[in-house]
Amino acid sequence: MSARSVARLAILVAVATVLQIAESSIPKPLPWLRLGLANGVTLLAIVRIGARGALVVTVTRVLLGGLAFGSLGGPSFLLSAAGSAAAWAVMASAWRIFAPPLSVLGVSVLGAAAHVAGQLAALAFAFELGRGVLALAPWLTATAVPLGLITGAVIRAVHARLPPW
Amino acid sequence: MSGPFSPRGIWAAMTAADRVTSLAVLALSGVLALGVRAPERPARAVVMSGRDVVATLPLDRDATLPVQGRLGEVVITVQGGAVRVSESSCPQRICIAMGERRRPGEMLACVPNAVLVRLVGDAEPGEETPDAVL
Repeated sequence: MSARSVARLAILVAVATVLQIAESSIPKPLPWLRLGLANGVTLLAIVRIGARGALVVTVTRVLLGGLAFGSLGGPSFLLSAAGSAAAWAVMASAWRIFAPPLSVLGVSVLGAAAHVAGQLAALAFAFELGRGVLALAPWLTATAVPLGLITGAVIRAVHARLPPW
Repeated sequence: MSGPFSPRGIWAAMTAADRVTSLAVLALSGVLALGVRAPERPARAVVMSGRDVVATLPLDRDATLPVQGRLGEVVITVQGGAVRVSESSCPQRICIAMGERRRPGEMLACVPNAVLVRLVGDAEPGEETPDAVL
């Protein structure tokens, strides 16, 4: 690994971790509603350095976020990990297979939906909350579209303004 | 409002495939809403008078049940998937004013008559919906 790619990874990890921490500190009208900018960095990493680098960024960000909040290994950490892993898997596949015609915006929507699905799956199976938690699924899936689009628009703008690496 | 982050700006930047994908996810949420709404098994109304269970009425079948309470008769009616107290011998008729109940964990009570209607489902009342998601 060249010094250049180490530096790129480090920058993306730093940005993603800061966004994750910052986002959690913003008061939200509903506890589960989040813009998902940290997930957006996963998308930015997929677009700029490829799926494998993006996985490194995502895993490191989730671990550092867990350390920062002291939730490492706890329930909210597992939820974050499940959602982020699902989002990475879906966005990396979608970017590879469907882009184009899909743009960053569409991939971001899919990533937001996958994040929701991953968290719900973790809640339903790992925490054995079962059917009750699925009552949230329609709302979470619906909000994933506007939130994914906003995140996607931000990432699109950042990608366009960053010089080629 | 315009600009790259306004709804119009985002819509303009989306490719046809992006739009189809977004609509598909919205459609999925609609399908989920319909799917989640339907319970596996209808809730049941457990009717109690004093300490005794008088009857258990499934909410998917309309029924009318007169129950002997402490003061007199209380009529429990199941209609359209909901249960209510339709007639009561109590003085204030608060039980009738409570209206109808349809979800597990909910209750109706005629206190003067010591008649209680408790809705139960597959899950325990506390499990029906999450209290919080982290």
